[in-house]
This record gives sequence, structure tokens and C-alpha cells, in this order.
Amino acid sequence: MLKSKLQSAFTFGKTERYVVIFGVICFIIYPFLFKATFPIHIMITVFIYAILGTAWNITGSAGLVSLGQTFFYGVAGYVSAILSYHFGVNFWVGLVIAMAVNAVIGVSIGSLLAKVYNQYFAIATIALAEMARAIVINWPFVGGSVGLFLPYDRCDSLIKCQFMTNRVPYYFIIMGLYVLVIIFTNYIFNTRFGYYLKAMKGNRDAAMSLGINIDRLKMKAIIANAVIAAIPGPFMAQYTFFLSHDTFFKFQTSVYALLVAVLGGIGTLWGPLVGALVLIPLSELFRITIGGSGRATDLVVLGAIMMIMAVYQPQGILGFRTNKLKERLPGKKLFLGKSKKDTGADK
Amino acid sequence: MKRLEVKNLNKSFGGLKATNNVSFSVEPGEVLGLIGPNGAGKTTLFNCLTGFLKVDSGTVHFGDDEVQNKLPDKINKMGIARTFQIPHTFRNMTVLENVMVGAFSKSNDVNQCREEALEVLKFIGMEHKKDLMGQHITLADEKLLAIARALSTKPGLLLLDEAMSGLTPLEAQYAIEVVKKIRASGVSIIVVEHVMEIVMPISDRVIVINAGAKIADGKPEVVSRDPAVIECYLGGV
Repeated sequence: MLKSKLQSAFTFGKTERYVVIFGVICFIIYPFLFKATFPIHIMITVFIYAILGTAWNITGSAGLVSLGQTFFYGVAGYVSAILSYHFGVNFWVGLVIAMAVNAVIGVSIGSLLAKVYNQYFAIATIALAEMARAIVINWPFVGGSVGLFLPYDRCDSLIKCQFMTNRVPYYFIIMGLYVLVIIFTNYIFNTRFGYYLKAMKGNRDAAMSLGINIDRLKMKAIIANAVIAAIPGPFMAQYTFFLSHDTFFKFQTSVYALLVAVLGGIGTLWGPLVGALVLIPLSELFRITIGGSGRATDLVVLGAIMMIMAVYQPQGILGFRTNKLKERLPGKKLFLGKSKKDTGADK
Repeated sequence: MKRLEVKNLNKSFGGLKATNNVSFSVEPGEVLGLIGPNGAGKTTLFNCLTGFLKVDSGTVHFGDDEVQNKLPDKINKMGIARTFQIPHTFRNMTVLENVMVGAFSKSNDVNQCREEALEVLKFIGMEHKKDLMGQHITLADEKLLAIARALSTKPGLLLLDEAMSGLTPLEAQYAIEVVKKIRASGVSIIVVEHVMEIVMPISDRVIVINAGAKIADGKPEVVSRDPAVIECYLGGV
């Protein structure tokens, strides 16, 4: 039982395996090549959005567009921060508790949005994030509108996930968390649950007629999304030592979580990472070179790129590969195979 | 024992009686043709049997189980599978994955379901197309795929809602062969069709519905000569 579960968690294609090994080596070498703070900060941001995008992808592969990733992210960040601020709970316990809280929230959202689909689902998730923001602003216990400064113990510690002098440990922690997320997501995509999610996106009526309980499936997807999206929240809180409604319930976070998944490829395992690797450095680059002083030229360029992608490559960056290998080739093969057989040229 | 027994089934939408006191039964291994003019209530009846619509009154028994007003997924798990007028293919999945989703109804082991799905595809003659995406196959293949998908849930009763309409005569001929093969494997089938050339030769028995009510029930050759049936199709003389 456990063996088969592990098997589905570590199922990778042949080329995929080599790319993964190569990628892992690159990511491990990266902080030793670029020692400055900024490149490491960018990669940390990439991993944060990759995790948020991966979480988005679970509901996304079921055709449920979430525009409230920042809700899960922010709630988890605040839960762990309050636990450490008021009760002295350490980071890792706080992280697990935050994930559990998000799972419960996932259940309530799942039942709340049970009959809500398509654009209405997206709007409802925006509303959730805005509601949470309003609550945080008016609640002094969680810092109110001022925000919450987390205490720093004047010594770096892995247990508290606090490193004042060096960002490299943060880099490796978030990378390790991302690896865990990928293993879990790969497990989901390679089991019945993953197939059901795709079927739900394909056609809900047909899915129901084939024995899929749509309501329960939807709830499970939202829970999985909420639990995974909980991971970067506590990390970000310890990374910046400061939480506010502005940074943790920012609509832009939701949009970026969606964009990295859409840019990389909806419903794909590696799409969010690929999307984040392209989008985050690109947006930083544009911000530095052509943005600034309120002109927002960088966002205009970014928006144009997204529009071009949406029109000409809706399957995302990974879609280039899928198009060639999975969709076009078998069709050609089938055609050739048949015509050869018909003429008797084969064998 | 009867595979399916429907007793006094009623369903109305406001003032319109879409299903009016319909009773019939299906024997194991039988192909039942369900015909009637446009708007007669054939699809409504299907939706009532498979849980997509709640019935107003009456009972539906599948073997010993009561089926009426249960959720579609529960009814499928009991052993009633259906196809739709529009094939409703999962366009974002390959043909094999489409069928696997059906196979998951009875098991959650991926490898086992893949094997089962391949077997169903072989049975229906589509295995060479297993890696094509759902959005790239033709209508005829989509209709066959819908049957394969329903079949992979290992049903005792298969409801085919116009599974053979819109096909060329050659494709329809192939689909008829498939239906005959399915019947030979012991599955009962209810076929809704408009095309008489299809429904008459494959049905063991035919029931005719007009304006929600059953007006004839019997052997195909008898029913097709029934004056009431001729009248509802061609109008009164």
C-alpha cells in the first residue's frame, strides 16, 4: 500500500527524470555562484510563487479558477506568526498548525462554494481574500492596520527559521519545502484523484455519470489547494519578520500565483516552477529598467506578454513540449501506420 | 429477476408532464429500444433513471436496489451507466484516460484501471487511438468512446442516448455490431434512437413514448405496425 503510494509520488517520465536531476543540481549550485543578496532573494520569490502556483494548479486542473491564493497564504502566515508572537510556538510546529487550520478553512470554503463554478467561483475567492484583509485591519490582536513585527532572538536558528545575517539558509528551506510540495502534487496527479480532477474540468455531467461525486471532489481539491498554499505564508513571515494586511493579503499575490501556473501550463506538475522562473525575474527586470516612479510601464509590458501567451500559446510554456510529443506525434503515427497497413508496405 | 423495473414514474416541469405514469421493465441481457417523436420525453426518462433529475413519484428498482432520487454517482456505482446525446468527451484527456476515469468507478488502483481501460478499448476496437487527445477525435470515435467509458464502469445496465445518431451508415453499422457484442457479454441495454433502421434490428423489445406516456410495448415488428405508433409519428389520418 505504502509502496504503491510512493511509486505514484515518484513517477516521472524518462527525460523528465534527467531534467529534474539537472535542475536540482543547478538549484543547489545557484547560491554559491550568485552570492549577492538580490539574486538569492529573487530565487526565494520564485519558489514561493512556484508553491502558490502549484497549489493553484490543483484546483486549476479541475477547472476551478482561484483568484484568492493570497487568502490561504495570508491566513497561514498570520496563524503561524501569531502562534510565535503570542505563544512562542516555533516555526515548524506553527507551519503544521497553519496547514491544519487551512485544511479546516478549505472544508468550510468547499461547503460554502459547493454550487459555485466558473467565473462566480473566481469572484467568490477574491471576496474571501478581501474579507480576510478587512478582518485583519480591524483586529488589534493580529496587529491591526499597523502590522505585526516578529521578534528576532539575535541568533540564527533553524528551528525558528530565523537567519538575520545570511539568506542562503532561507533559500534551501524554501527549496526543500518546494520539493516536498512537488512530491505530494505528483502523487495527487498520478492517482485517481488527479484523473478525476481532469475529468471534472473536461465535463461535469459526464464525470457524474461515471461515478464521480463532484461536490466531494471539489472540496478535496480546495482543501489540497489550501494546505499547499499555506506553506509559503509562515516562511514569508519569518523571512521578512513583518506581517501586514498590505503584504499578506495583497491581490497581486493571487494574480501572480495564477499567472505563473497559466504561463507555465495549467494542470502540469512543473508548469508553476517554469512560469515563476520566467515571470518573477522578468517582472523584476522590467521593474528595474522601465518601471518605477509610478509609471507602471513594466506592468504594461508584462500584461502584453500575458495577452500574447493567452492568444497564441494557451497551453503555457510546457505546452510547446506537450504539443509536439503528446498530441501531434501519435496522430501522425496513427495515420502513417494505417496507410502503410492498407498498402501492405509495412513488414 | 428483472434487471430494471420502473413503476408509475411521473415527472413534470411546471404544467408539462414530461413523464406520465410510465412503467416498464428490462430483463437481464435484453436490448430495449426506446422510441418516440421529438419532445416525447425519452431523455427526461433517462435523466430520471440515472439521477440527473429527481422524479415526482413512482419507483425505479435496479435488481433489489431502489434507484430513484439518488445522486448520479451513486447510481453509477450501483451499476447503471449512461451516455449522453452530446458525447461529452473529456477533451483535455487522452482516449485511454477518458476510459480510465470510468474504470476508476470500481477501483482506485491506477495500473489496474489502465489495464481494464485498455481491455475495454480493445473490445470496442479503439485501442490504436488510445493516445489521441479527446479534442482530436472524430464524432464517430467520440460516440464510441462514450460507450467505452460507460462500459468501463462495469455496468449491469447500459443506457445509450442516441449513441448512433449523426453517424454515417458505415459507422452506425459498426456501432450496431458493438452494441450486439455488449449484449452478448450479458449487459442489458436501453437504446434511445430516432433512426428506425438502427433501433429495429438490434432491439429485442421496443417501447414507444409519446407526450410522456407509454403508448406501445412489444416486439419491434409488432410495434412498427401498431396504429397508435404510426399515428404519433405521421399524424392522424
